[in-house]
Amino acid sequence: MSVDMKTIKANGITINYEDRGPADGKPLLLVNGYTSTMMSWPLPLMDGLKARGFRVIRYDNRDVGKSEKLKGIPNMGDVMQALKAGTKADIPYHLSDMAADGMGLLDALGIKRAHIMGISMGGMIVQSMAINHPEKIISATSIMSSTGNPDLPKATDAAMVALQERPASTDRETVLRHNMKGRRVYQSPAYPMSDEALYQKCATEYDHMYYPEGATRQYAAIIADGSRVERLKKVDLPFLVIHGKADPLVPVEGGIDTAKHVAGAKLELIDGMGHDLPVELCPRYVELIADLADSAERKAAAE
Amino acid sequence: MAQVQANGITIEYESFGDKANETVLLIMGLGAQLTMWPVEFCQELVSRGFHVVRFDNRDIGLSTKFEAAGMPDMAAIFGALMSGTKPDSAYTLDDMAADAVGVLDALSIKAAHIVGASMGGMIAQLVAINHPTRTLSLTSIMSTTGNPGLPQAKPEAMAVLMTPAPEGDIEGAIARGMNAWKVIGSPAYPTDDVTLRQWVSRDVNRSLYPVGTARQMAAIVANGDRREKLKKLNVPTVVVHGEADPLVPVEGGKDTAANIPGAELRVVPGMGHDFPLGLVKTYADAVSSVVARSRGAKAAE
Repeated sequence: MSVDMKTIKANGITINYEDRGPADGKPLLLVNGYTSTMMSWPLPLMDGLKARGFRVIRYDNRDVGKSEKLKGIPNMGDVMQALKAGTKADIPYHLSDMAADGMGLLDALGIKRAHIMGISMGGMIVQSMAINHPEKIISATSIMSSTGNPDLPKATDAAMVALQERPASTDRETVLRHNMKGRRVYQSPAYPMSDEALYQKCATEYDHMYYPEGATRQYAAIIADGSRVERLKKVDLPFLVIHGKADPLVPVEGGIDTAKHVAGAKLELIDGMGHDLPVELCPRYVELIADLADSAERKAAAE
Repeated sequence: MAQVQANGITIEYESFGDKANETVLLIMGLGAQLTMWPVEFCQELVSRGFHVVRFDNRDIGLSTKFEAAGMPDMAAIFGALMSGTKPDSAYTLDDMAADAVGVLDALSIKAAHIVGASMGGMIAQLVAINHPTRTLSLTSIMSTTGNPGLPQAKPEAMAVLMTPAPEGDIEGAIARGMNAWKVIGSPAYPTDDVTLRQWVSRDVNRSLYPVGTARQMAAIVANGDRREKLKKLNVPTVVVHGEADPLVPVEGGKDTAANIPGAELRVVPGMGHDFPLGLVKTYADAVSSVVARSRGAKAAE
C-alpha cells in the first residue's frame, strides 16, 4: 500500500509507474483513460484487488502525468482521410504504441504475463494489447470503453462538451472547478461523489501533473485507430467487459459491442453507473476482475 | 477547496481520505503553499489509513494576508538573524501554531499527528509545546531549533532565501522558483524540469504574495531558540532531515532530535530541502513509525 513512484525506460520512452506489490502477487496492469493520470484510480479498488492476491501496477500513459511528453500536432483532417482510405494516418503515435508502452513496462519489470484492465481509452488500449500481444496477457478487462465501431451511438452533447472544453485559464482553482463541473456531467447518477471527494480527486490529478497539451495527440490516436471490430474477433483470451448503463460519454452500446465481438467475453452491465468508478461499486469491480483472473489461471493451469 | 475561520482569520485547507480516521495535519514551510505537499504523499498517507489535512499558513496562498502590517524591514531581519537578536514581527510563530490548532477546531478534530516541514516543522514543534493535548505525535522535517550556535545556510541557499519573488511578475517568479528549487533541492533525487515547472507555475498562478513570505521570515527569526521548550516535550517525535540540506543544514535536525526527549532521528542521504517524489515513501514511513509509537504509548497508559 504505497505511492512509490519510479520511472523506467519502456518501449523506448520514460514511463512513470507504481508497483504496489507484493512481488509474488498476480500482476495486474491498470491502464488509464484519455488525459487521466495514474493518480485517478480509487484506493478502495486498488486495495480490494490487492486483498484478492493481485500485484497492482499503475502507470502514466505517454503524454500525461510524469511519463514522457511527445511532440507534434496531429492533423485531424489527414486522420479522417486515412481512416476512409484504410491507410495508417501519419500522427505522432497510435493506440498500438500506447499498448506497446504498457507491454514494455511489463518487460522492464521482468513480468512475462499479466492480467490487464483499462477504463475508457484505457479499455481501448487493453483491447489493442489483447490484439497485438496476446502471449503476454492472462486475462483482460475493458471498462466503460468501446470498439471504435462507427455505427455505435455517440456521446451526449453535454458529455462531449464536458470532455473537450478547456478551462478559462490554467490556474489551479479555475481548472479544478472546471474539471469538477465536467465530471458532474458524466458521473454515475446513482453514486454521485460529494463536492469534497470530487475536489480531492480533481486536485490530486491536477497536482500530480496538469499537462493538457498531450490531449490532442491522445485524441488523434483514439480516432485513428478506427474500428477494432474485425481485430477483436481474433482475440482468444479470458475477457471481461464492464459498462455503466447510464454512461453519457461512451454509451453502453460500446461495451455491448466489445463483448459481442470477443469470443467468450463476459459482459457485465451495471445500473446507475456512468463514466467513472464510484467507490460504492469498487467491491463489485474487484469481485468481477478477480473471478475472471482466477478462472483464467485455472484454465491456464489445466492446459 | 474550503475555508474555515480559525484563530480569528480565514484559512484555506484541503483534506483527503476518510474523516473517521486519525488525522495527519501537514504544516508547510516559509513561502510555500499547501500545494507543496505532494498529492502523492497525501495519497500515500490516505492509503495507510489516515485522514490528511493540508492548509495555507497565514500570509500565503488563499489564507488571510496581513496586508496592513506592510513590508517588514528585511535588513533589520537579516541583521537580527546574523546577530541572534529578535526583530519586530507582525505576528509570531506561536500565532501560526494557534492557526494550525484553529484548523483542527474548525474541523472538529480533537487531536492529530502534527507534521511540519522547515518553518512548518518549527510551527509543528510549537503546536506540540503550546497545545500538547492536541498533539498525538510530532514529525519535524528539514527543520531546526533556533539554536544560534548551529551552522548557517550555505551562501547560495541563503541567497535564494534572501531573493524574494518579484511582485506581480508571473514569469519572473516562475524562473526564480525553478532556480530556487534547483539550488536547495535533493542532489540524489532531482526533479525533472517539466515537473518542476508545473509545480512552480501552479503555485505562482495560485497566489503570488512575496511580502507575506517576508513577514513569515520575521516571525521565524523573532521566535528565537526553542531548545528549552523542546526539552519539556513528552510526545512521540520523529525528526527527518536531509544529509545534503543546504538551506537548513542537517545539524538543525540533529539538534531538534537531541533536545526532544525520546525523539527518533532519521537522516536521509542525498536529500536536500524539498519534497522529491522519490522520497514520498521515506516521509510516510517516518510518519507511520511515530504514529505506531504514539499508539503504543496510548495503549500502555
